[in-house]
Amino acid sequence: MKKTHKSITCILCPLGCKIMTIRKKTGIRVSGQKCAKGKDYAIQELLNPTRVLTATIKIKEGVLPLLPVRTNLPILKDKIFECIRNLSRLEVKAPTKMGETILKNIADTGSDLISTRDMERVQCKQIM
Amino acid sequence: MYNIKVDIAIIGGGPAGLGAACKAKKLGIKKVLILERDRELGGILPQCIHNGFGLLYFKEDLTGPEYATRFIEEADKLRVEAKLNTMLLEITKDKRIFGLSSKEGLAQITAKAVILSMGCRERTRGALNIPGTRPAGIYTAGTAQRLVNMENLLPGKNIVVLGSGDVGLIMARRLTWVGAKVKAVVEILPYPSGLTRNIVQCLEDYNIPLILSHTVVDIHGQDRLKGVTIAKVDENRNPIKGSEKFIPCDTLLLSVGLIPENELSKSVGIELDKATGGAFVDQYMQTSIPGIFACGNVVQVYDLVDYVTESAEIAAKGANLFMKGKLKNHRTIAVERGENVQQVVPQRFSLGKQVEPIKFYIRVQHPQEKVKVALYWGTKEIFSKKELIVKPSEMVVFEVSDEAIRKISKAEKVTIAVSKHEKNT
Amino acid sequence: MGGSTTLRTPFLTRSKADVAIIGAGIIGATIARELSRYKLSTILIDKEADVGWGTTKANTGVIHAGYSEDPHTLRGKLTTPGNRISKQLCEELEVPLKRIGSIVVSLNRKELPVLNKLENYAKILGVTGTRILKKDELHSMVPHLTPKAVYGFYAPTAAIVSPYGLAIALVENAQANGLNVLLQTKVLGLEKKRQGITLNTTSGDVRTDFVINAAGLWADEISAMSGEKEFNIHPRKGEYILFDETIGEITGKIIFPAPTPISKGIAFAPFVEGNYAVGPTDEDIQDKEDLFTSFEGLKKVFNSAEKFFPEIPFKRYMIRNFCGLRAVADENDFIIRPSYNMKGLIHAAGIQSPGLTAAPAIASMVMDILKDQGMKLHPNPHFNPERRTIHRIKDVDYKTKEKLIEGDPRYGHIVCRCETVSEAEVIEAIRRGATTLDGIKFRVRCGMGRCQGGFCTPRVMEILSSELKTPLTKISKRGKGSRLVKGKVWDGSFNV
Repeated sequence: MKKTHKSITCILCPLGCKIMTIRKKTGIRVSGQKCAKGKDYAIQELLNPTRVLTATIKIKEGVLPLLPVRTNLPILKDKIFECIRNLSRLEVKAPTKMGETILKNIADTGSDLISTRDMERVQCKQIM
Repeated sequence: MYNIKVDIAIIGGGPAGLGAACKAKKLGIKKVLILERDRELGGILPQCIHNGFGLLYFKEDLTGPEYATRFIEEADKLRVEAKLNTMLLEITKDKRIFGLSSKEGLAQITAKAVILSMGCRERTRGALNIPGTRPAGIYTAGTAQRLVNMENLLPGKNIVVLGSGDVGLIMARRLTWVGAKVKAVVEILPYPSGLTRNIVQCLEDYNIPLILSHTVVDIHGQDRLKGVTIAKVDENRNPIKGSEKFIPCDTLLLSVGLIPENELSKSVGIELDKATGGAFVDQYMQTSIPGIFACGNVVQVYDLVDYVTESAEIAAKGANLFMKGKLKNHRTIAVERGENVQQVVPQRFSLGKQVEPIKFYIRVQHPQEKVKVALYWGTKEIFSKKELIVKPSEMVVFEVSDEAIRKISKAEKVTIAVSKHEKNT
Repeated sequence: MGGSTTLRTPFLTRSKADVAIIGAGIIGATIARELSRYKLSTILIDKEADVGWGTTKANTGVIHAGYSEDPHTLRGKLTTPGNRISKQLCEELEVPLKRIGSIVVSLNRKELPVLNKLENYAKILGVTGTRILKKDELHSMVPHLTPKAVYGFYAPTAAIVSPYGLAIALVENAQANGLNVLLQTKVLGLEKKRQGITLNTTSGDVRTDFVINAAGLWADEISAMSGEKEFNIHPRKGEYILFDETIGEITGKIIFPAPTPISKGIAFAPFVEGNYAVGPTDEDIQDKEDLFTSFEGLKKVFNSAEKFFPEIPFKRYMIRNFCGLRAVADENDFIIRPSYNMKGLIHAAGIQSPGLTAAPAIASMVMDILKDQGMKLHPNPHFNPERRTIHRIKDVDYKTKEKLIEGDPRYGHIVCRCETVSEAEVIEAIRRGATTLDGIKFRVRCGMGRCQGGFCTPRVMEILSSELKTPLTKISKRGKGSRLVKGKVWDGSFNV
């Protein structure tokens, strides 16, 4: 394995340390962080960066044409576009409730796609 | 004419209004009414489908719609009343409110206390006076967000974002995720205006260039935008001749700041602070008109919705005290802005019988490392707190103990300042 | 209301007209309305998607008193009568015209002879009520004016009007009286036939007896279609800055600096709707599509604003900047006459400032020429000079608001919060011919306010889409080439 450098901006606090990581056969060297948490963050970001994906999918008969959704767990960053390709073809029908599972184990990430709001049917507009 | 009487009327059903309404109900106030111009509650949150909300308040990472839904459900449980699709026209000093709706025509609401929670609006191209043509394809980031996230419409395919405010950063990622190409985010300041988390997760993750100390100096295209010319700026933010560069694009998003929406406040004669663009408030979020309170982004543009909720709960507590006659005739102490302080809320506070700690929400003028945030009475330091770094993009929340507050009970005014702290490590 | 026709009425139910007017700016619109008094078939043609979208749109909106032009020129002769007729015209069409008066302010004692010259012109041209103001009176009439101001020249008959509002009203009224309108149509050529002229347009051929060339910046090119270019038009660029109405009444009057030989200078003009415009600059240019505002131009406007009103914090109240091109003939006067080359072609060209003011007088001059050229004018027995404006929920008292909502609940649904515009008003604007976002903006002011359409754009797009039965993705800012969005987010084509 070749030696690779990667700079990572820490987001754990407003300092935003620029952490340099060097990956060698022998392991990973981390420098530039001002705290221990920064080191763990940098290693995590280097080896296994994950993100929560938030998006929308089409919804029929809803008060809006789109239903906002998210992955219930963070997914691998590299899987984001594959997930988007999958969800771009989805369509559900109103009404739906917040937290409903829309798609289980999206793109084999181990994470489910869930809706993030209630969506009423268009006929009965929400009046509180 | 529809005519009702309520205890508290809350103007605007976004996170601030919802937070204030729930808190008021929990404090035992009977008739709490939210007046909302949109067809649903939640304010801007339903279009903020990204996560990052509620980290402080709920200790959870929620999306905008989820944060809103939690409060809407709670408001429902607490029997908060709401009038949707209602546009307010006027508030009077004696707390009568006039509004319009399709369903009820003209509405008049008389309230014992009013909480203003109208939120903020985005700065536009005109406020920046960017020269050039006036083609289609120029949107504020928030308008684009609504089109993409709620209307299923794609504003464009090749995008330049002017300003590195959080909405712009979020939209850079959002548009990338729906297949558009974001060519650059251009920021006039030498540092970004948005949260570090957003710089990393919205720009760096997708190799979107952040071009600092640059601005858009020309807009091209007669009918639809064809491109923008950007240029480097000097330290006075004036474009440097010869540094111009053309970027072809079909869409320009503006994320150049938010302005508290205070037209109603002005019409009733509430005193506004030029620094925040919002009302002058005391520690109960009471404005210059007794019984009219304000909270959330209509007071000051907060960086986190959690702070908006916090301010809303303070306003509800204040309104409750007001209705019980407990906010009368206190002498107020002015809070002035010292070194490197751009905004501070509250701008004044009063001392009653009971003294409680007061939280100050501060925005600094420029980034600074190893600082001390301190409250002074004259030259005397009353209270201070160290910070490793402060940035204009991230608010400093500074809680002054009741003990310290008691020490300044005789002061006319105090000052909050941010200064270099040498001994800090 | 405005009659049953709208701008969308497809023409070419008959492709023969008595008169064709090229250009639906203020000049074409005024002539069209004048022609609608007679039993004639008239067609008004414009290349844009709406009326008044050329020079008319970007204008100070001042109805000048008429003292500032040389009395020997057409510009001088037609302005005072134009001012007089405008008042009645605006009353008939329910277009607000506010006679607020203007003051030419001199910052320098040496400029007094210039003011005296204006007073002399006023006398010759019959402008009533003008007088020179001494320092004290000047400052009491214009409170925030710089202390350097020494003299003023006051003309009480000067007024303000919305120029595009007037053009829209004129066309609405003319349509109700039988006018046909053909938009998004370019005239490609004129062919002299044995009888009359045939216009080749991008929407097909139109046969007509008379053609009126009111093509503004392009009038020289239309003249060239007669076989030879009869004159040359160049654009004079003017940049403006618009300020929010909350800037307060800087002055209740229109303020001009002392004029130069080519221009009346950077004016301060309240808009009838309450906003405040400062401009225009003056720059003779070549490119007729150069609608760029520039740092230099806007700086000039700013400097002038601050020079005259040093106390006013202009920067804080900017809403937007815009640019207009005035159509200036090389001879620097209006050209209103029959073509030398083609019988039946009549020019109303080179209509630079004060064209908005002179328009009604220009229209009657064109009518005289048409009569001279043998056109038969039989009064239209159904002519109705009146047109009703769109009811604005913002402008009426609470009782009337309630009544409006009772009649149409959509009056209670506010879609533009800065200008308080209701859904009912937007729908009425569409019914009267608006097909684009700008068309709505110019009729009912959606998007003119502080947020510049940030809030109302998606809402107005939805109404346009449902009223015009057009997909949202096809809604445009101002017609062809200016669609607001590039498609749907999820339409099945995502592939990244």
